[in-house]
Amino acid sequence: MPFITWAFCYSLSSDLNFNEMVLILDTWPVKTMGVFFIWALIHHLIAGLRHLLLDLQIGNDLIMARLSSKTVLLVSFVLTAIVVYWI
Amino acid sequence: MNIKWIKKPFGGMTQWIYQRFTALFMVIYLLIMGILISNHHTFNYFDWISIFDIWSVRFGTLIFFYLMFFHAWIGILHITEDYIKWFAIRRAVNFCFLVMIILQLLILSFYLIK
Repeated sequence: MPFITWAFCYSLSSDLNFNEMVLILDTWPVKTMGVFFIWALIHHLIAGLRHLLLDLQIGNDLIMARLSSKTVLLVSFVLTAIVVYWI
Repeated sequence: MNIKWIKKPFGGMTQWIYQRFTALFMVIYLLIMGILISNHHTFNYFDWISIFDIWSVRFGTLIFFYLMFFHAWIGILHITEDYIKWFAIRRAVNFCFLVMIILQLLILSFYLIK
């Protein structure tokens, strides 16, 4: 998070800084971390939705709970692939 | 005056409700920003700055970061409560996270309001 905050402020502050930021973000280690970060975000979002459903007492039995947790994992990978491809 | 009413306006549901509504705002914000950014065919500094020149985007971004750090802060409280048994250490770790969050919010506010 500190890195994202810094990068965001830095890129907004001037033209030169923005181009420098783009160069940094364009390297493969940063891109890999970016993909991982996007996956973490999407997984967090879908898992949150699953917990909301569980709170509403939907899918509370063991079979459904296990199935939905696997679905969350799968869907998060698929959505990540779509988002990364789109970017 | 009853301070508990301010700290926990929804009783035991307070943190649960905060987490869900901050999450809702953040999802909507990210979707709108995704649309705004993908509307630009080229992407240089002036496109980037023009997005954040819109008053409502600037304001929404500021709210987004405040809510995000609030969401994260509740999450951190839960994690440290579960995994750090020693009270003094837990308080110290929480304090470190709080300082980090407040510093980042100050920096973001400075850049976005300027």
